[in-house]
This record gives sequence, C-alpha cells and structure tokens, in this order.
Amino acid sequence: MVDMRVSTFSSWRRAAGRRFVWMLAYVAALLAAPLAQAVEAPERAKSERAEARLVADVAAAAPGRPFTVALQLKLAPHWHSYWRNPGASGLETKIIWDAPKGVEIGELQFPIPKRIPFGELVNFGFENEATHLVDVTPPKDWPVGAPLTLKAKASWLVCEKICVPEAQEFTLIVPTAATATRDLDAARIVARGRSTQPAKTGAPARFKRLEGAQYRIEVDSPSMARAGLKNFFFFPHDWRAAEASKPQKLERTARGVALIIDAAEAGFEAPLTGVLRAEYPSGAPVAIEVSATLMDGAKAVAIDDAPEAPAAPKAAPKEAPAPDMAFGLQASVGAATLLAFLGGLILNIMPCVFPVLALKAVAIARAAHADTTADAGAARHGLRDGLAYGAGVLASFLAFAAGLLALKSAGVAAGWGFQLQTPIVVAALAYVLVLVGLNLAGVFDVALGGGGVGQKLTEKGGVTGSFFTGVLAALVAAPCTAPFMGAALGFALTQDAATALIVFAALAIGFAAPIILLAAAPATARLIPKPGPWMERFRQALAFPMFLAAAWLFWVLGHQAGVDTLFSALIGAVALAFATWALGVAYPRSKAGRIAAVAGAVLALVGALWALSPAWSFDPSERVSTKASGPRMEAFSTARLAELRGKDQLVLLNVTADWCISCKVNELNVLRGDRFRQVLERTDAIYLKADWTLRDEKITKLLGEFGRVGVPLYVVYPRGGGEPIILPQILTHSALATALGDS
Amino acid sequence: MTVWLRNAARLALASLIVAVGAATALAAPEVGSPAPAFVGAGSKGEAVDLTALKGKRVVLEWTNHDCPFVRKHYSGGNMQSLQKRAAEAGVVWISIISSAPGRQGHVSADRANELTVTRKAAPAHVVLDPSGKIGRLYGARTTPHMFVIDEKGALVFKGGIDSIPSANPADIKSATNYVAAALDALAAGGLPKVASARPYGCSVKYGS
Repeated sequence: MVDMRVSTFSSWRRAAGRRFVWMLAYVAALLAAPLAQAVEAPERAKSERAEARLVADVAAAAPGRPFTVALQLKLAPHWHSYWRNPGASGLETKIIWDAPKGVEIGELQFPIPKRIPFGELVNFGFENEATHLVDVTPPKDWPVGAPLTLKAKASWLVCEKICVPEAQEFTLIVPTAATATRDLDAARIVARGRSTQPAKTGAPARFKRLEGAQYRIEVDSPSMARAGLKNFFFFPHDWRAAEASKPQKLERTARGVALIIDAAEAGFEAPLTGVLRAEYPSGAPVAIEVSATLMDGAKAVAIDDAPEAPAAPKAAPKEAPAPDMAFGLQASVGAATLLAFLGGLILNIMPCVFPVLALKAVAIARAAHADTTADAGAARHGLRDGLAYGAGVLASFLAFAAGLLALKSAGVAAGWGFQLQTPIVVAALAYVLVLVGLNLAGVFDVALGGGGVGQKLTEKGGVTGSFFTGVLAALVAAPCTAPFMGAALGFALTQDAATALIVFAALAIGFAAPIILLAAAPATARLIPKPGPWMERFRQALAFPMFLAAAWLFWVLGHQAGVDTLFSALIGAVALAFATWALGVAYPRSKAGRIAAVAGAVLALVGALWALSPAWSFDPSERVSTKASGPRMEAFSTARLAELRGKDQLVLLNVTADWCISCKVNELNVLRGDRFRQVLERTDAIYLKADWTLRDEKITKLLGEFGRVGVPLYVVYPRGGGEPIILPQILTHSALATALGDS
Repeated sequence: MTVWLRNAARLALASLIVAVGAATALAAPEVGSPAPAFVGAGSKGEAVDLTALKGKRVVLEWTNHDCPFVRKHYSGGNMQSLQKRAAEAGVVWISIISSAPGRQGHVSADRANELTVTRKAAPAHVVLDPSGKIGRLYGARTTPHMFVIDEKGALVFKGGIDSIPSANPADIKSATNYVAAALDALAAGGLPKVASARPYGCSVKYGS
C-alpha cells in the first residue's frame, strides 16, 4: 500500500517534470515552427479511372491534438466507387493503417451515398468525387519535433461496366510541433469532405418490423421533413437492411418522415444505423445520420400500459413515443421550452448561483429602499439594471448554445454535460467558484474596468456592471445546469439550430426572471429588509454555498483524474486564496510591502496555474475508474453488451456520470444494496454500468442510439432479442422490477 | 438421338419454369426453402436439371472469368481446390455464367470449356445463362455469388464465398470460407452455421 502511494506520487512528479520539459520544448517549437512547415508532398495515385490522394489538414501536428486525414478519390466520368454498404454488388473503400504505437486512428468516414443503378442492380456509392475523412490523434507523449509517419494501404473498387479494384499505399509524414499549424490547402479538402457528409443531428428514430422482410422506419427530423424534398432513401449500414434496387415508400409524420423499406434479408438487428438522404428540387442532396431503435410492443414501462392494438400497417401509425424527458414529460419543442424555463427558475437556488443572485437582489433592494429615502435616481435605474442583467444572462446562454451547435456541426459528438467531462474544465470551474467564494467572504474585492462587475462584485450599479453580473451568474451556473437540465438541453441539441436557441433562450429567461421581476417592481424589492450591517454578514455567509459547490467540483475532478490531480488542484486553490488575500485584505500600505504582496501574489497565481497541469495533461486512459463490480455487475463495453445479448441474457444498462446528480441519486436509492441484488438474482439479469464521466465516443454513440445526448439513461434489454425498454430518468424500485419482469 | 430429344424436352420445360420465375425478377429465394428448379444449358451440350439432382448436394457458383473478384479466387487455386473437394465428396458443382452477350464474362460453350481446362477448374457443369433467367431466379447479384443446396433440394446457404470482402488474394487464407463450412456442416449431418453472407464482387452483367 505504502509502495503504491510512493510510486503514484513519484509518477505524478515525473508527469510534472515532463510538463516542464514540454514547456521548454513548446518555446523552442514556437521558434522553430516556421522551419518545420516543409511537409513531404502528399502522394498521389492515378489511373485512367481514378485519381487518389491522401492529405493531412495540418502542416504540423501537436501531441494529443486530433487532426484529420482525407482520402480524396477523383473518379473519371461514368466510374463509381462504393459506400460502406456497397448495395447489390461492389466493395467499400477501405484503409488499413500502419501507425506508430499510441496513435489513435478513427473510422473511415464516408460522404453521402447515392444510388447508382446498373441494369436492375443498384449500388450505393459515389460518382465524380468521394472524399473520405479519418480523424487521427497523436499520443500525448509524442516527442515534439519527431515526425509522425503514417502508412495507409488504401483500396477501392471502381466500376463502370466492368470493375477494377485499385489500391495504393500512401506514406504520410506529418511534422510535429508543440502547437498544431494547419495546412490550408489540405484543410480545404477536408472541409469539402466534411460538407459532403451526412449531418449528425441525433434525430430520434425508430423502426418497426412489418410482414416478411419489410419494415417501417420513422425519423423525427424537422429538417428532413421540409417541403420540396424528394427522392427519399434510407441507406442502412447493414447490407441486409435494404434491397438496394427496391424503391422505398415515403410517409410524412407529425415530427418528420417515415419510409417503408424492403430488407434484403430479415436478419438485421437493432439499432438500425444508416443515412437518410433526400434531394432538393435542384438535385442537391441533404442527408442525416440515423440510428433507429426497434419499437415493437410497449415502450415506456412507467408511463403507458395501454394494450397494444394489433399491428395494422395500413392504419395511421400510432404516434410513436418520443424519448422520455426528465420527469416523464414528452419531448416536444413546447415541453422542452417550458422545462427549460422552469429549470432556469430552479437554477436560481442552486448553491453555485444563489449567492451571486442573492447579492444582486440585495443591491436592487438597496436601490429600492433608497427611493423612499434619499437617492431617488437609484430606483429609476432599477429596471434598466434588471434588463441589463437579463441581457447578460441571455447573451451567455446563447453564446454557449451557439458554441455547442458549432461543435456539433463540426462533427464533434458533444453531449450536454460535456463541459464537465474534461478534468481541466472542472478544475477551472472549481477555481472560479473558489474565487467567487473568497470575494463573498470579503477576502478581496474585484474592480473590473468601466464599472465592471463592480466593487464588491455586484453592489455598484451601472448597466455594464449588471450585464457582467448576468454573465458571471450564467458562468457559475454552467456546472449546475448539466445535472439538472440534461434532458431538456439534450433534446434541444438534437433539434435544428433555431429550436436549440429557443430552448436555451427559455432557460436564460427563466434564470433571469426573478431578478428582472425584483428590479422592475420596487415594491417587491422593498420586501427585503432595509440595508444595514446585516448585509455584510449575509454576503459573507453566502460564501459557504459557493465553497460547497466548489467542493462538489473537486470531488468530480478526483473521480475523473484521481487523488493526485485533485491534490494538486487543491494546493492550487490554496495558492489562489493566498494571492487574493495578499492583494485583498492584507494589501499593505507601504510601497515595499506592496511590492512584496504583488510579487507573492504573482508567484502564488503562477503556482495555482501550475497546479492545474496534471488536470490539463490528464490522459483518460490512465483513469482508474470506479467500476461496478460484484456478482452480476460489470463495466459496460460494446463487445460485452453484444455478447450478453447474443447469449440471450437479460441486461440492465445504466449510463451514468459522476457529475450527474440525478444519476447518483438513482444509484444510491435504487441501483445498490440487497434489494437491487436480489432483483438481479431473481430475474437472472446482468447489470452493466457505462461511465460517461469522461468523454467516451462509444458511450456517446450508445446514447445516440436512444436519441439521447445526456445522462442518465437506463435501458433494459429483454431476453429473446426484443426491443430495449427505456426506463424513466427518475428511477424507482417498482419501475425497475417491472421492467426486469420481477413479480 | 434419344439423348438429344430428352435434353431438348428438358430445355423446353426449363424455359417454361424460368419464364415463370423471371416474373419475380431478382426475388432471391430464402434459405430453408426449396431451391428454385431450373434446367440450364451445359457447356458440353448437356442439359443440367436441378430437379434431377435431388439426393445430391449441389453448389451453384455465379462466375465471370474477367471479374477481379473471380480472379481473386481462381488465380491462387482457391476455387479449384474447393471444386475438387466437392467432387470427391460427391457434391455437384455448377458454375453459372449469366453475363449477357457483349458484356464482360460472356463466353461461348467452347470458350467456357477452354477456361475450365486452362484454369484447372473442376466443376461438374458450366451452365451458360446469357438471358440471365437462372441468375434472376436466384437473385444472383455478384460474381462470385454462391448457393449451397442439400440432398432434399433445400437452399442451405447463399451469399459471399468467404468472410473477407476484398479483391486481394492475400486475404483468402485469413478468411472463413462459407461454402467449405456449409459442405462440412452438411457432411456432418448438420446445417451451416452461417446460412447467409453478404455477397461481394462485381455485379452480374445481366442484359437489359
């Protein structure tokens, strides 16, 4: 035990030492970067049928930073290459990589496929041009300056009337530097490739088997339901799930579109993944990625136990149950907007937000009281300040939403709560909360330029000050939104940009409403007791919920990155406190004293930043995860889930994260203890726990299969390969027992 | 003369069956159901009647000698050794060419026989199906596209020849050969574990 601790501590020190070397290298590389630009010319291969080249979008890659490689195929007229499911015949384009150890290479991404008829046979593929993308991440500990050599054996089949398999081995030598530099020409090719890919909207989708090998797939996508789109076709990844030559019958639904499809064979499984494509009247394609769950029989156990009508394919389809929202509400724009508004209201009493708001409220009250006493001018500004505050909140939330949407359109699978999946962000937010707490406790005062956030944070009036109070409130609210607002915001992110912004705006308005109300109606503000010395005590008392929120974030950090990283961040927090103390209440009057205080504070601040380096350089693969263990309890992996399902095993899946409060509540109340174990034993079920505390593409994808972008998610996979049952987000013993079939 | 007459009669019957079958163009038969009956024109002038082969196991191989995927399996002797193993086990191997006249892979009977000799192939029959009727009856879409039929005349396997869809002969040795596996399973009195696999290869060059 002692040995272990010593070794982990020294490994931390080694990591810190590496960090220093890295920083030196960084400076050196910054100077050397312009020299490192000479990339070896990307290789090309050319036949009379196709011209291929492989390029990386960076002139220099940085360790741990992903970049993208594009395989561009330019095809001669009438020749085509193939999608990942080539349709009736043919063969998909492939790359086999040979890369140094530790280099992460993502899946080959395909552009939007098109139907290419050849007689009565139809293929799925590309004409004229196909640009395939692959994300590559060099290891974090890659020596800066050492070039990265990637060998790619690319093979593709091109057919016209006859078929010719072609292959080329490319060698890509990518220089490395401390910071990545883009190769503009290649980046343009990559951007072009990205623009030809189907959108990843996470649109909820489900399918129902009909007679024979026919099935009906529904996709809830307003963007695909637009008027004027034609030639709808669903391209499944599994070759069995569509007879390429058969047309698919379109139906419009309340939320999107549905297709009735003839499968080539009935054996394909849920979730059914693929690409839904349609065309504008101009012929330009529009397409989204689809992951459809199977929906026969009853769906949400807790909500609806109405008897299922016998399947009647001709009849108007029963409105399919949408993924359940928090508190069991149905997902719709209206419900999500309302939920977001209510959620915004509730955010006001969260420990990380309440102190800031309480202060703002007190400041408004002071102004209102002033109205009846001396300074009449102050009250007139009440409403203006309240609105400025609201604007600050709104601007922050909308900026947040816009940032997320941009990430999403760039193809990053970002779920809500992703901001807490990165240790450095968690640590930084913890610092912010500690700083706000110290400010409240009176250790120091902030004076930002132009009236800024104001002396004593919020007390000073002024439109700018109020605006920034709004920004600050939104910022400190960020960690608190994820656990409570996951469902509504997650839903918003699966919708088109306008809907997403509306939902975020509703959240912001709900969040700002109490303060605006207070400011707009001085009468209500006057309900708050008159200003006096009590306000100072009150303000100091408000520091404690802030520290409480910080403590929670430190706990999350510890779970994510281990005790060593946590310890380092705590030391940093102490240094931060020292710096604020030196510049705040302890700030000396003598010149010499001041110099000493400033020097001390700067040193402490540098130390505080330095203390974040383990969190910054944290490698998720080093994580010692808190695995579910014990009989019948296992950690999730895609392979294990498939294996269990293959064995006809009843499976309970829990997708959770340490920063998700409702997940933790459910785990404490329902998913542990004797009662839970007995249910598992009686029903012979296996409990799989998928931990999304840190970013995990596989789990993000798993969530996507159920139309989710956030946690918690509870799923029961019944025996006999039936469709998975989604349990409510607020879990109870009885709902769980019913879903598992325990009487 | 009587042999010729019998063959002609069979061909006429076959044409009728195939004509009915062609109405459901490319409706692939299901594994487990009876393999659609056909009588094809063998490259040696013989009539190949599937119904008459009841009691024997049969392999159907759609082929096109110029298709790179067919060449993948012939250049290294993979297909030939499979054919020889089948012959030794009493399995009737029928190679079928459904390329239309003027399209890649279309050959005369003589050229088909010559290809068998030069490639050291060992099919029991090579059936010429330039109209594509048998191909459409089976929903054959690629070359190669394989079908295995048991003694009772039921289709027990259809699809790609092995587990690695590629044009690279080097992949053969690491792939699972589904036809060999199906024949082994039948010989052991069971059914193939993989009854359907993704067919891969060039498209069958049907006429329009």
